[in-house]
Formats: sequence, structure tokens, C-alpha cells
Amino acid sequence: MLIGCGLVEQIKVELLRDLAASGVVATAAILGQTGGYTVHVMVGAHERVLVNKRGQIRVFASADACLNELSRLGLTTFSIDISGYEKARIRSPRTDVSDRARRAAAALEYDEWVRARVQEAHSEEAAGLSDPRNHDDVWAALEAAAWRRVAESRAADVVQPTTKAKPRKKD
Amino acid sequence: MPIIYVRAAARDLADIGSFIASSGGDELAFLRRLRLRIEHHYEISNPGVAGRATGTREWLLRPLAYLAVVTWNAADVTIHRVLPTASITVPRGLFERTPDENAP
Repeated sequence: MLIGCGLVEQIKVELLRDLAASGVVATAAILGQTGGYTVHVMVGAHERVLVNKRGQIRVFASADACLNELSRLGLTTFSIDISGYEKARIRSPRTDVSDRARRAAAALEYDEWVRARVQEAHSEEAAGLSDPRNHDDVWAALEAAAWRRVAESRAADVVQPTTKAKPRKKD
Repeated sequence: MPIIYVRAAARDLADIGSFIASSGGDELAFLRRLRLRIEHHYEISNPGVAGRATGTREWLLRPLAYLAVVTWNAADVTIHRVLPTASITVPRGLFERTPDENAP
């Protein structure tokens, strides 16, 4: 009987492994499908297609993956029919996974950045350049600098005219 | 108040102030809020969370999106850095210094 024609039953990987070991698998074939490859075997007079644990037909994304699986099952002789193969995605792209990976990479990068900044401070301290200052002095200096900037910006506003006077039309 | 700032931390605060001013924010108000957050953490003796750098702790200065890297020594606290948290993008050039700028 030719594989790929007639009624197809299902077979799970554990049973196929046992059947292959006992030598009852007559022929095996890899058939090209839309988006991948499926494994079909002839057990007695029945054609069976390899399914996963949930009973869904197992579609391999690449021929390599399919060959590896057959090799693991102990099926070393098989035919390949790629006439029905059509390039397509088996599953929709997992954007959530890539987003998660991107976020994890960003978090790691941030951790590294913080460590480097702290190391910078520790290096200064080790070199005796830490120049420790108390709370009130630091904030007094910061406020003074802020006030200075405010005064400078106010002075700049006074110097620069905000609107340009329009020339009056002569009658 | 026994809160000690090392040079890098004081420099970070000055950088934050000038960044806020240059981006059109109210620098004085922002710095005051930052100061209050730091004082609050100190007053409640907040040990902070374990820091990313070994031997340090971190105070999250919420809701200002900054964190302080600190070490406790009995009742005293030393602030080593005040850095933006991961929730905001670090402006390019902020907190990055050339070796000349680091010179005393």
C-alpha cells in the first residue's frame, strides 16, 4: 500500500518506538506539508501518522528535525516526498517571548551600569578622593546652585525681548 | 544629621539638578522632594534593599525614579551614588564623565 493515500490512523511516539523495535513497521515516509513535514508509517496494512501527546499531528518545522526523530525511533530506511511541501509558519511568532528577553537584557544592562557607577565611586574613595560632605552642606550647595540658575534664566528673560514690535502702517 | 555624601553622590545630585533645569522642570522643587525622600529613609532607619554592588544597600526614592546607593555604619549612613532607576531612560551623557572631569 502506498503511503499518503487512503485512511490514516494516528500513532504516538512511544508506540511507534516499540513497533519499530519489534520490526513490524513496514515502511516509513516523510511527507512535506504546508509549513513542515509529517512522519507516516505503514504498520501492517494500515497507514499511521505520527501525533504528539495531545493527539495532534506532529509537524516538524525542518527536515533535519524529522530525520533526527526517525533516527531516534530506530527507523533508518524511509522515503521522502516533498511534493506537498509549502513554506509557511507552523506557529504564530511569539512576540511575548522576544519582549520578555528584551526586558531581561535591559535589566541586566541596567544592573551592570549601576555596578559600574558604584565601582567608580568606590575607586574614588580608595584613591582618597571621596571628599565626604555632610547632608546640610551638600543641600545648601545644591540649592545655591539652583537659585543661581534661576537668577541667570530670569536675567536672560529680561535681556531678550519676548515679542517683536510690529511696524505701524502709514496712512 | 549623620548622612554623609561622598563626592560622586554630591556630583550626581548636582547633575540631576542641572538635568531637571535643562529639561524645563522646577529644579528647586525637585531637589527639595529628593532631599525629603532621603531624610525620610534615614529617619525611619530604612535598611534599604540589597544593592547590586556588593556590600551596598539601595533606597528607592519613590516616586522620583531615582535610587540612592548607601552603606550603613551603626547610626550613620553614607550615600555613594544617586542614580536614575531602570524605569526611566538615562539621558546620554548624564553620569558619564571623562577622566579630566573626575580629577580633583
